Amino acid sequence: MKALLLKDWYLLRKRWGILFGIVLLFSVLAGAQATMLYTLMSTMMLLMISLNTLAYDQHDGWDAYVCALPVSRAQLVLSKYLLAFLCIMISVVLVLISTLVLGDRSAESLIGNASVQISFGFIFVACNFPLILKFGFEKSRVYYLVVAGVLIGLTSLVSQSELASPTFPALPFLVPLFALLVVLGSLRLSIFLVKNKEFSET
Amino acid sequence: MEHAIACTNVRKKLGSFSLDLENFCVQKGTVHGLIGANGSGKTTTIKLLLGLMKQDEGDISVLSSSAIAQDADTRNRIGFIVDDASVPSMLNPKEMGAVLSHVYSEWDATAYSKLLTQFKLDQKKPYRSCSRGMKVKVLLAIALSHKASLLILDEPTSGLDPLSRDEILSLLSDYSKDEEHTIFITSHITSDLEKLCDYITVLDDGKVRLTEEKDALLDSYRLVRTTHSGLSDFDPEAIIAKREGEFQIELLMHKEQIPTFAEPIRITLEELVIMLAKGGYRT
Repeated sequence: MKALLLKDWYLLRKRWGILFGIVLLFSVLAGAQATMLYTLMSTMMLLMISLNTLAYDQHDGWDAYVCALPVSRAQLVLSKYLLAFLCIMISVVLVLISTLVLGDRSAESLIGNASVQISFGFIFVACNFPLILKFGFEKSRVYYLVVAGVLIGLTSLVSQSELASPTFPALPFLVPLFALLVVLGSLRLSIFLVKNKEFSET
Repeated sequence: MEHAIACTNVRKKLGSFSLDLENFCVQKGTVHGLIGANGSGKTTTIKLLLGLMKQDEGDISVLSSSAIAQDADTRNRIGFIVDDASVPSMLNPKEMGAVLSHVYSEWDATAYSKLLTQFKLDQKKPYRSCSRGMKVKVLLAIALSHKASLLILDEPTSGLDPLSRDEILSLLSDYSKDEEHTIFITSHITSDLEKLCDYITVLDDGKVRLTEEKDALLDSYRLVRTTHSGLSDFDPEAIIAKREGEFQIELLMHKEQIPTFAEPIRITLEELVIMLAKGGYRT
């Protein structure tokens, strides 16, 4: 697991300059303007970083190479989900700092932002990772863009509706919990798919 | 003798192509070469052995493990090069070494560094900027740096210049001197296999046409040259294959079946494989 994350770290530190700049921009805008769209874009862009590692793996043939190394396929999948989880957490921290410095410092707002980012991130990962791991990044490109658009739209709608009002105080905790269950199901599905994957061509 | 690799009644279908390995073995402590044309099933065989593909039928045993895809401990003892599977292109050999030191339980960083120096590879040059020869050398350095007892190598010398090929062959030859070490290698370049291998298997259209000890194989056949008019002096039953030129005909025959008037010529592995293919693999 350590080896796989170290490999992704080496990969990302060479490629993440521009993308991370965009993430910072969205995080600052999220804090300054308190707009859910910017908050979600910050999370989305960071998740793109973890998706990019999958794209590079498949392009280079590393996804096949690593399966012949003494690494279990379950570990391989787990490392990808862990990286995505780290990306979500970094986006939460960035928006949190930005909001504390530039925006509404109320606990409600801070918890609300974190809840939306975590839920969005988990569902995004849960919907996309099994398909990308099974069919490859290129073939899943349209699908994950559609998922991202639908999720951002839905989350923006819900966050502006009555459901997000203080009459449902447990909502910021229940939704991430539900998303966590979904992502755990997705993890199991991904492990099953990758365990049965064959590398006839890459 | 103990087998490093054993395939029994293995079948793998890929569209219209079918690979059949009825009874194919690689003995421990030997160098075994697999020869075959493009599309004959060499890479599919390698991928089955490494657990990157699953057979539809039959049993595969690699270092006594019958489920290599699930057996990370056994994979720890295998070094490999496979077509279209590679290390991340943006990482350099130094970074790959750091990653793999956490993968292989017996990773030898000193041996790895020594091999990179021997191959004159820049440790900080990204893999994607390396030439084909350099890339093979990086992969070979990885395969040889974790005390593997089995090397499974898919076309390691193809596309390399003669000097690099010779360098790699001598390295593999040194590795094979240890009786615990086994090499299973595929190549188009039969002269490389002739230098290196103890055993040769010929794969054609997914079927094993021939498996034999190399020296015995080369010793039992001879080429005989004759003219078109002189062909009638030979027993047709004794001619295994023939290659007709404008002025002369080359015949492949068993050494002991060559008539006394003809002059036997020692055959190379490449000539033998070509002639056997022409004769429909009649041996």
